[in-house]
Amino acid sequence: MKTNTAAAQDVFSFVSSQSAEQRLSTYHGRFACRYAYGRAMDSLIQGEKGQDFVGVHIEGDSCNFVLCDGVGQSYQGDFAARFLGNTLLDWLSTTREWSSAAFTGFMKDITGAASEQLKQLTPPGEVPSLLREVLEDKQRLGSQTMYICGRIELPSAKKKHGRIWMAWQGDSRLRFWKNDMEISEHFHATMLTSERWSTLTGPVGGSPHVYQTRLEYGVPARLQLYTDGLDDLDAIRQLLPDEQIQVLLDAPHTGGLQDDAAFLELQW
Amino acid sequence: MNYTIQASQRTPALIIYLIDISASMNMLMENTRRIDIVYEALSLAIRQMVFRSTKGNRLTPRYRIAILAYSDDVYDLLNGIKGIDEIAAVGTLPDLTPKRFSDSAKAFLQAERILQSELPHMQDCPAPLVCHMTDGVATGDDPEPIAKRIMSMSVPDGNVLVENIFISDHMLDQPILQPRRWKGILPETELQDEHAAKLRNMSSPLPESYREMLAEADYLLSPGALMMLPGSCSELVSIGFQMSAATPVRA
Repeated sequence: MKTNTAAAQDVFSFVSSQSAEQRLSTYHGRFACRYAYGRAMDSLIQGEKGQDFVGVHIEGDSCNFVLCDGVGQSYQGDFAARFLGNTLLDWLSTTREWSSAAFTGFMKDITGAASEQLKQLTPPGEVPSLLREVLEDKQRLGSQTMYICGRIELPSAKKKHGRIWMAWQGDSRLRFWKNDMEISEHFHATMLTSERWSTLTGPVGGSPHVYQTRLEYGVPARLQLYTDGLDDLDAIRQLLPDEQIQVLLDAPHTGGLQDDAAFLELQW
Repeated sequence: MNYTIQASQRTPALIIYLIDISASMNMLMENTRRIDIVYEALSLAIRQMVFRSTKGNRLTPRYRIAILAYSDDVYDLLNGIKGIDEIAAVGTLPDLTPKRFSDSAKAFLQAERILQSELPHMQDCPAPLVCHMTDGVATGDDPEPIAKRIMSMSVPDGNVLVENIFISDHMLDQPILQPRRWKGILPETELQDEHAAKLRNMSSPLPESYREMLAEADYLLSPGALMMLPGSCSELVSIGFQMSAATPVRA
């Protein structure tokens, strides 16, 4: 879903549909925002939902964003990604409490509502009994997703310092450039496959990682987030043209994406 | 050559089970026939593969399996290689009925033939694995040269892996009291049984990716451990079959 209700007011929202592809697109306002979404070829052929999620909301000088990678081996990983993605987008636009403790508490508090909704997603009746038993086991263990979320408040001529706040668990990629210098290595040790959020227990594998820093006026920056379906990007440090990112999303060299892929890039 | 290719629908893992159904498999372990413990452990491994192969409500065929039971002859229990989705559709595994002798060389020969036919089509797939379960000395020809030939076959992901589960109470000088804390059999581990030493020669080193998968299930095998398990209790037999299914898969 995409809305650009009032370009003059610089308002833009995009929330991925898990049932359709989004070719690489760009929005230009105070932020330059590139976004895309693709399903694994296997899911595409079967007409299944993707298990990633990406959402962004820009309003003038501020931007909220979420990227999720549902855990395929959990029960209905697409559900956890969608639930958490939408819930975090709401939270980012309303909260006034940005401490790690408050965020961790919130991530635990929402498990009740998530579990209640997950209960309604019962395994289909027509599957073989062994598969049904496994799906029921998985349902008891909950649905899981990795995530990165954050909020950017840009500095301006009147307000010299802006701020970026981000939180994450899991191995989705979070890359940050300031003045064309990549400083992503600060995050590498904390991007762990064993960490995620579960509808059953909230944070898994440890507490969420929270990062916050000031943004200086006049310092150009680029933030790039993507799920592991686009891991071909890992080795690329320079700004890629749209068409080259689209080639990675189309993945003709492997007959389509081997895993779902969500992409978001913000520049200011 | 590092055993990191993930099992997926497009690049499924191939696992060939060689199950000894000689008469001694009727003997009791923990008040249960050995053959029944093996059947349970194999069923659990299949269930684990189903668990790792579901995405949404769909079972993706990430594993392909052959089960060869052997006595004085070899019995192809699945009539060829079957996808995990086909096995799940049937729901239960074929019965394992003990017979007489234990000619493991014949079983390894049949596994070798399967691999010769399959490997050319598996160049992008995880390295295949042969999981051999036995409770005694092989009758018939020596299986070791055939196992060595199998271990020298390869795909870009790595050489074919051979794992051995040896149901025996006399293999180690100390009983394993805590299977989850056990470090595994290392090349230098002293073995009390000549047949166990032969099976060790036929066992591949445990790849790091498999070791990590087992660590997630809280089994703390040490680096350098071999793919060999003493089946002195049902839990160790179960670990052995879980090891066979520890091919990396996408989370």
